[in-house]
Amino acid sequence: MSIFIFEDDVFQAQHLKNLVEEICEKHQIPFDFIEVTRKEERIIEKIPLTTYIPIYLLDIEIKSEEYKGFQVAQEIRKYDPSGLIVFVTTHSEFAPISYQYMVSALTFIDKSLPYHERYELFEKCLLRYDERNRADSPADDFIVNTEYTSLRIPFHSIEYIQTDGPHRLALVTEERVIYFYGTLKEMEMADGRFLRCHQSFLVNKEKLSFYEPKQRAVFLKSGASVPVSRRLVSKVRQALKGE
Amino acid sequence: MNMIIIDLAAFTFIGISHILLYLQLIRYPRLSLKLVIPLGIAFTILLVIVVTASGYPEFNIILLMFFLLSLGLLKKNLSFSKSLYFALFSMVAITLVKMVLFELFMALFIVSPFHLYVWTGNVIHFIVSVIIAFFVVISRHPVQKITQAIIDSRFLYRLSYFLLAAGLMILFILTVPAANLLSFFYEEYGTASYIAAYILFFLLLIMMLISFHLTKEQMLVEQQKRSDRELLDYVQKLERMHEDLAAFRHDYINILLALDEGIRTKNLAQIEKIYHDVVAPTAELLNNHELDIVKLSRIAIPEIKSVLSVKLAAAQQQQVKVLVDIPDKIENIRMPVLAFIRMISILLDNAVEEAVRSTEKMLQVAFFETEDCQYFVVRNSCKAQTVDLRKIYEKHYSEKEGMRGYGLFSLKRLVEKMNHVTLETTFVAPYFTQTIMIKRQ
Repeated sequence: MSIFIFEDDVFQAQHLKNLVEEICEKHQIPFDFIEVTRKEERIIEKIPLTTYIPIYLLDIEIKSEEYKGFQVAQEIRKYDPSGLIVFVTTHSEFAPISYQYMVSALTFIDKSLPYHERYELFEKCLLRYDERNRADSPADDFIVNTEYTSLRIPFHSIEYIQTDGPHRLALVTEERVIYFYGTLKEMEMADGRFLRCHQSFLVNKEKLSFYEPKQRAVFLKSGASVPVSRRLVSKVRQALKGE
Repeated sequence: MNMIIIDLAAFTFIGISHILLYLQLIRYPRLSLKLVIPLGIAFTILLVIVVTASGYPEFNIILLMFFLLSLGLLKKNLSFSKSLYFALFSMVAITLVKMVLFELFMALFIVSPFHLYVWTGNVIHFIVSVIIAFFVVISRHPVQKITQAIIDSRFLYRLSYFLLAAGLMILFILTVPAANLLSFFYEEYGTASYIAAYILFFLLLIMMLISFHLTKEQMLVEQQKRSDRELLDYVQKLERMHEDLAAFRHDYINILLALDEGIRTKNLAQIEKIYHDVVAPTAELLNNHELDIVKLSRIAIPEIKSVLSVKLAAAQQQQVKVLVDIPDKIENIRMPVLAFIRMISILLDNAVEEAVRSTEKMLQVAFFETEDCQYFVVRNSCKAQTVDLRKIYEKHYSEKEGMRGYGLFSLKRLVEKMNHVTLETTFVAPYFTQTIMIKRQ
């Protein structure tokens, strides 16, 4: 496991390195090396040497080049599609949304935050990094890539997918809803981890909690309920037993 | 008996059309069809009872007039003369159209090879009434625009007022009245009034056509005016920012001088004081996101740019912190521009309204493209601790009274029409994020 820090200010770089080491020690997060550099080539060269998933802490503004950190992130993505990218910057004039989307960055940390807030944010990122490396199947994203839409959602967050009008689907997680073009059939074929429990519902097997015969619905761990058609009750019961 | 029922139904349709047309004219949309229909039925029954009981058909017109005028009281700021004008308009226009259509249909029927029965007249009456009611329901917007144009042009307003008043008199005479004076007029001038009614119909029709033409021109002028105004706002905003920047430059030199003095005398305490009192607060100025709005210049589609600048400036005026994130140039949008503007207007209106009510008062707008998608993201702070993400898109859902829920419902409808558009909604307290994703095709 490896940690990259991209920062041109020597003091800040040193400070950040100390901070990372402190957090890693506190939580006993193992790492092979911490690479602190101001040259993007150094990062690109070292990517093949990494084992497991690396984390990149990138300053966006390097030597008054506004987009440098961002360009480096795009470059990294060419070689490493799954590493965690965190932007560290003072350049608050640039809101983070577009960066997060374009290189699927994990998050964005403001250097000018008070020390303890910053500490907490880095701690969160490094814990996430640790968790990602421990998990058995790290790449659990559910990916939809059709002519009409491109989606990438962590599978464990999905609750269910429902039809919503002709050729329209609603994908529901605990904190978001996505309305997009597609058919349930396509989704079912694309990922075997779903369970068809109703003509117009696909449910995430991992989320099932219990079946309620009176309402003919299956309840999810979050408390949401999904209808079950008579024909498919046995399949749902089976899935629940398998848990 | 059947004939009476058919006639009654026809009268009901006409009654409903009167009420609907009048409500459209005074622009009072809050009575739904569900309410207007029973109202129309009740009113028609009342009329039938009064007219048959009293034997005075002229009550028809008088009662309708009073009924419409009292409906006009529902709407605030409606002057009596306007209310009267609209009531006249609704009554005269519908009655004349009904009359002309009835005559026309009868004439056609007589020419046609069908036999003429006693009930033919009643059936045609019914059909005409249904046609009128149908057109009143579907022609809401053009009717409003045309009358607005008539009112705006003083000459047409007065002329039509006069014509409508004359029309009312003719209608009175033509109802086969029972009051002495009126029945005298009917016997004396019945045929003349008939002809006058026809002339009036064509006069009003011509006026309609003229004002229809006027509305078109007026709309163009208005649109021009609006875009001029928006541009002016934008320029003023830029000027203000430039002034701010100039002021800061001036202050900055003073700050340097003060520091210089401290350094020269090696007075660390003074330097520290200057740093905390003078230098540190400037960080806030530099982070001032008012400057963000300049980034809108990266959008090459003028309509979208101006909508965004107006909405965001309005948000700033309501003390909402606005962050704009447009990293690259946006050359075009991969859907009809008008539909896109409607979508982002709904998103922004909702977001601003919600942000104003929240404690953080934060609004973030991002507009960018990746290799195969365009993204428009609106993120706002919000007061609610939980939001039912599915419910907000339902037709009558509303956080508070107002059109919020309805807006999101039509947003979803717009999205559904375009296969390559995806709508994502996320709520992680206290931030509410909505993303429109347009896939390249």
